[in-house]
Amino acid sequence: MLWCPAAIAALLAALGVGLYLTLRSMLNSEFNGSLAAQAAVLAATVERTPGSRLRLESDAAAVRGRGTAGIPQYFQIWTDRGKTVLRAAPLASINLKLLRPAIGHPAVCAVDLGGRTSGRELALRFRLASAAHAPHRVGHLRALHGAAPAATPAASDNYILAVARRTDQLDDAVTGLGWSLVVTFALATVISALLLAWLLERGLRPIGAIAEQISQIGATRLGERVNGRKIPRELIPIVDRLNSLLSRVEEDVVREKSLTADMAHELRTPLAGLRAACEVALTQPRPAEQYQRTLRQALAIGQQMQNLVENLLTLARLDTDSYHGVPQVCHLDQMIDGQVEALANHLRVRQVTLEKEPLAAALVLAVPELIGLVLRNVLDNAVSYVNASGCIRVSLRLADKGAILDVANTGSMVDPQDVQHVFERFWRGDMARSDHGRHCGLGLSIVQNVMRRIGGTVLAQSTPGGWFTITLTFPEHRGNGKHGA
Amino acid sequence: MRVLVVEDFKALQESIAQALREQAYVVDVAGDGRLALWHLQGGGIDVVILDLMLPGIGGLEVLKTIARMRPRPAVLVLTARDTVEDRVKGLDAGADDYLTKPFALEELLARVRVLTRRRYNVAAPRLQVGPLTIDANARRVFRGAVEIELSAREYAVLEYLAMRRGHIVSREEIRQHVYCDGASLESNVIDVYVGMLRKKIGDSTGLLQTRRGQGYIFGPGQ
Repeated sequence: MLWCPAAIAALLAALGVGLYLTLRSMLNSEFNGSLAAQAAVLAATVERTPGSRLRLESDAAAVRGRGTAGIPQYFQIWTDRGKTVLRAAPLASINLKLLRPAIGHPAVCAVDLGGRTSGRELALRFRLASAAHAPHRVGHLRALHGAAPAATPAASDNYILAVARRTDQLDDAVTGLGWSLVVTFALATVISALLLAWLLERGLRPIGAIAEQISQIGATRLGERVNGRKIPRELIPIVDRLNSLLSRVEEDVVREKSLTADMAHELRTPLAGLRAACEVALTQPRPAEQYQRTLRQALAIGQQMQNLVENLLTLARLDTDSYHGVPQVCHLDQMIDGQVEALANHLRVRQVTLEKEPLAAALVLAVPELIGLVLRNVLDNAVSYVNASGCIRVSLRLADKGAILDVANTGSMVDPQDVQHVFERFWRGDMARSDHGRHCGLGLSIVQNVMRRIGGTVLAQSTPGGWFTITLTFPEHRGNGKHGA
Repeated sequence: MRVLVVEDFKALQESIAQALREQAYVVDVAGDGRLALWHLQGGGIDVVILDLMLPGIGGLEVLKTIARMRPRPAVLVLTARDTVEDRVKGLDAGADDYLTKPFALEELLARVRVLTRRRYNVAAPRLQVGPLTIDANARRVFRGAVEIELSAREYAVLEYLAMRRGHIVSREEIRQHVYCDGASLESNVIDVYVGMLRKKIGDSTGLLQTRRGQGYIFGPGQ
């Protein structure tokens, strides 16, 4: 912010210099105008004596009637040939500079008036008409207005008149003006700097207060918000945005905490089960069947934990974009057939009927491993949550928006209002999804993640006690399009 | 003593229940909050082992319901959440104790014993009733220096009567706290156990008395 006072000082300096130059120019113009007026009056008062000599008009009243300019102290009149014909008494032996201005164009120059007295001289050319034909004031009129003579005058009628005035008063005025401006500028700069510093400090005080409030907000106090009261109106949008950002951060942190807590639950609970089962078995000697039962229980828990860890690793790989397979054209219908066959034994054990409509031949350009992951999880989900002796229905059709795969199972226990939650990690909203069986609440989350990566969509629908349907829409590969991960 | 185990992880639920039953506790199990509340409404629960992350009605809601109950069972929260914040939240909601998964079975059983005693305002693990000493930790009974051999059920009846010593204890109360096999009021199975106990503890001094139409009173009356 240091550039602000410097910029203001520079601006004030420029203004001061400009003002000084303007005023000096005005004073000089006024001075020159005054000299010109004096010269014009003087020219008008010049008359020729009967002996063809020049003299100043003897009628003092007439002189006074010319205005306030009066007769200058220093003047000199030359003939056109440069011979002095009249001069003011104070000039004594000093000659003014003989300039040769054109008629109507007075010339100005600095002049030394003797005794170290500086002055300024203004010279003009004027003409005296002959005494027989012209009145006295012809010279005055021509000199003032610069009008060309009606007839070519005789050379002897042209004169050069120079008037001069001391400039010490003007110089003093200009110097005084300069110093006044310098002092004013310096004071203005200092006052402006102080004022600016005060204004900045006052203006930044709310920002300091906001910064202090922000510094108080930590990971354990994310619920706090920046107080928007008593702050300038201009800062309110910033505070609003900041609070909005804090809300989003809080939501993310809460979600992360919840996810961590869920993960801890999902990992520690089976561990606790494993440990408790073993400890109970060891509390006293037991029949062999009981040990076998405990071992089977331990094995099931181990398999479940393996499943959980693999799913967590899969999600971690998906989150960090670590699936770097090469996209290939996948025959979706054939892959579905393969996955369904792999589940045949499981279906038979649970006495579940699988109704598979003829699958449309659909091609998808994606990493085959990812497509397999999606199909495995969706079918696994259906098999896990279908009711005993229930039914699973699989269909694949082609539509404008892509290849649409529906996997539905009977026995849905998901409330339609909660159906969007089934894609959340470790969602435990319904009892069926939390029995710690083969599923740990990550399968559909993996499905959603993969579908997003390959440019597809996934939807869930549920009718309580009826069908739970997962609809996957794959971007269809038509040979020239580019899809997939 | 009757313990309700509320845990949705079946293997863990079964192991805890088995361990408690082998310690002569009467055990009810619930895999979700709704079933837990149903068991609680039935009454007679001394200690609840409660997992906080339950499907449907959550553990904290169950905890709040328990906090409003009179008499209120003691609650041991069993959860994977181990942050200070979680512990404080659980204790503030009415939990008496907190155990983080995974845990040592012995520790769980010890905490259940402590909570059982606290439920009946018994400070020491050794109860002295007349000439009898009941060691609740070791689950052994002595008359003087001589140990009295009791079956698990006999011990459970005696321990409950000892916890309620000086108070009239109805047959229904004993049935609620000591039985889970549907023994009805009409059956005389409790009278049979009490009769057996009288014989084994050598009760010739009227330490365990019958109050007609009311139940039993163990130890000096109040």
